[in-house]
Amino acid sequence: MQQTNAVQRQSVRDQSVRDQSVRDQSVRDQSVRGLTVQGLAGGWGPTTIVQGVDLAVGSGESVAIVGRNGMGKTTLLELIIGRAQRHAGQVRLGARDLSTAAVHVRARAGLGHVPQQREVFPSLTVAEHLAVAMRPGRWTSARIYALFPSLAARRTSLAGILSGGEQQMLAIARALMGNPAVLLMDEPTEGLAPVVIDQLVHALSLLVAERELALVLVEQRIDIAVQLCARCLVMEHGHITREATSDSLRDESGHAALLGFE
Amino acid sequence: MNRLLQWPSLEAPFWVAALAVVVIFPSDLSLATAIAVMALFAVSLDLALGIAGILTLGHALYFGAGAYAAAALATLGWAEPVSGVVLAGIAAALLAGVAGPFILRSRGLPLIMVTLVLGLFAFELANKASDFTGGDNGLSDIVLAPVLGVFHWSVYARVEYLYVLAFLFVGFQGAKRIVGSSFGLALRGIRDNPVRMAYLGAPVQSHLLRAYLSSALLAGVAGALSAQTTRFVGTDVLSINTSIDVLVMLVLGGTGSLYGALVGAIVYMLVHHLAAEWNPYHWMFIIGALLVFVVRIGEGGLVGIARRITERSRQTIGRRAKGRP
Repeated sequence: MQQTNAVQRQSVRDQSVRDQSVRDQSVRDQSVRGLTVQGLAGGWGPTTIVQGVDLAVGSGESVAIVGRNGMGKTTLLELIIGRAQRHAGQVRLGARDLSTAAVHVRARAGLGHVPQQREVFPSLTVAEHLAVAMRPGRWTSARIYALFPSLAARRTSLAGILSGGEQQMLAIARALMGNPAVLLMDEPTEGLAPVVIDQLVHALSLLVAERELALVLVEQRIDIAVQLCARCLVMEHGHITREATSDSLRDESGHAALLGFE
Repeated sequence: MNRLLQWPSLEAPFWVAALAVVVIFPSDLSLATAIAVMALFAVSLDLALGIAGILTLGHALYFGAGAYAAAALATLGWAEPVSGVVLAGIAAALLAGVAGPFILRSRGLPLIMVTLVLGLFAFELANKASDFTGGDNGLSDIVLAPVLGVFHWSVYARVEYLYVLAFLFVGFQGAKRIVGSSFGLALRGIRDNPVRMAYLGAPVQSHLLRAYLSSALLAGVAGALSAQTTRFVGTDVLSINTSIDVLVMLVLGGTGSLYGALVGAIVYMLVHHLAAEWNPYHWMFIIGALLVFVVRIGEGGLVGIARRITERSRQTIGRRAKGRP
C-alpha cells in the first residue's frame, strides 16, 4: 500500500513528459521484489550529489536513467547498493527496508551491481568469477555461457587478459550469478567498439525480454536506453527531472525533447 | 580449478624427496628441520598475504606466541609434544582473534605499519617480561616426552625432522584445502578487489578474519615446532628480522601459490647456510642479489619463473608438433 502511494506521489511530482500508461504500468508491477527508492539523498563524504530521488521499479521492469556526465547517475546506483553515504531517504527491495544495511547484505537481499569500470578480478579466471559470485538460483554457469558464448570460449582465461567487451560481459555475468531481483548497470557500453556494443545489447535485450529481473540501466546513449527499457528517466543535478516512455522517444526529436533541447 | 595449485605431478616427488633427505643427508638433519619449520611459517604467511592479500610485516608475533606457548607448556610439566604443538597453535590463533579485528580495519600501507608496530611492541614486551621469557637468555629448560610415547628425540635430529615434516605435510594440505575451497576463492577475490567482493555479497571482514586466524594458527604451530626441536626460545622469535626473513622467503619463492612458500624457504635457508659458511658477514649480500634478480625477472618468484619456462617450452613443443604433421 505504501509503495503504491510512493509511486503516485512520484507521478504527481514529475509531470513533464509523463503519460498515463507509464504510471499504470509501474503501479501494476509493484510486486514483492520491486525496488522502491524514496527521497534518497547522499553522496561521497559530506558532499551531496543525489538530492532527493524517488524511483519505483517493478519486478521484471527495465528502467533507464539518462543524463549528461556528472549529474549523479553513478552516485545514485552507489547509494542504492549502499557504498555512497546516504543522507536521507529510503531504499526498499520488496517489503524489506535496506536503507541502513551493509553492502554485502543488500547484495544478498537481491541487488546486483555492474560497475562502470567493470572491476573484474584480474587474477581469477572466467569460471572462477562465476563460482565466486554464485548463489543458488535460476542462474547457472551453463545459462551464462549460453547468454554470452564468447565467455564460454574463455572460461579458463584470467580476467585480466580479456578484452574490454569480454570484461564487460564477465562483469554482467558475475552479477547475474548472484541471482539478483534488481540489476543495477552503470554504462555497460562505454568505451566499447560498435560491433561489441551490438553483441552486448543483443544479450541484454534477451535478458530484459525474460522479465526475470528488474533492470536499472544508466546509459549515455539514448538509442540503447530506448531499445532496452520501457521507461527513461532524465537525471539533472541530482534530481530526476523528466520521465518518458521509450515509445514516445523512438525518433530523434524525442531524444532532444527528453534532454530538454527542444 | 585454481591454476596456481595445479602442480600435483610435482608434489608427490617433492614429499618423497623430503623423506629421502633422512637417508641422503643424515648429518644435516638439524638444518633440514629448521628449513621445514620455516617452510611451514612461510606457508602460513602465504595464506594471509599471498591468498587473502593481508599485507602483514609482523607475522613473527604468532610464530613467537606459538614458540613461547610451547615452551611454557613444557616448563609447566606438559611434556607431551604433539598436543603441546596443537595447544600452542590455538594460543596463537586466539591472539589473532584479539588483534585481528583491530588490525584488519586497515589495508595497504596503514596495515603494514600497524602490524609492524604491533610486532615491535610484542618484541619489547618479551624483552621486558624476563620473568616469563627469560629475556636475553631465553628459555632453554624445555623437557619433552618421546613423540607419541614411542619415538625418542635423538642427537642427530632424525625424529625432530620427521616430526616437523609430518606437521608441514598436514599444515600444507590444510592450507591447500582452504585455498581450493569456495572460501579460498572468495579470499582471492577479496585480495583483488575487496569492495567488489562486498558488492557480490561476501562478508569481507569476517572472511579476512577467518583467513587471518587460520594463518596465525599455522604460524603458531611453526613457532611451537621451532621451540620443541631446538629446545630453546629466545626473543628473536618475535623480532622484526624473523618477520622480514619469512617475507623474503615467500617473495623469493612466489606469493599466492603455497608452493612458492616451500621453494622459497628451502632456497633461502640453503643459500643462507652455504653463504654463511663462505662469508659469515656478507651472506645477506647473496640473498639480496638473488631477491633483486627474482623480482626483476618478473612476478611470481621462483615458482612463477619455473612456470613460465615450462609453459614456453610446452608451446615450443606444440609448435614443432604442428610443423611436422
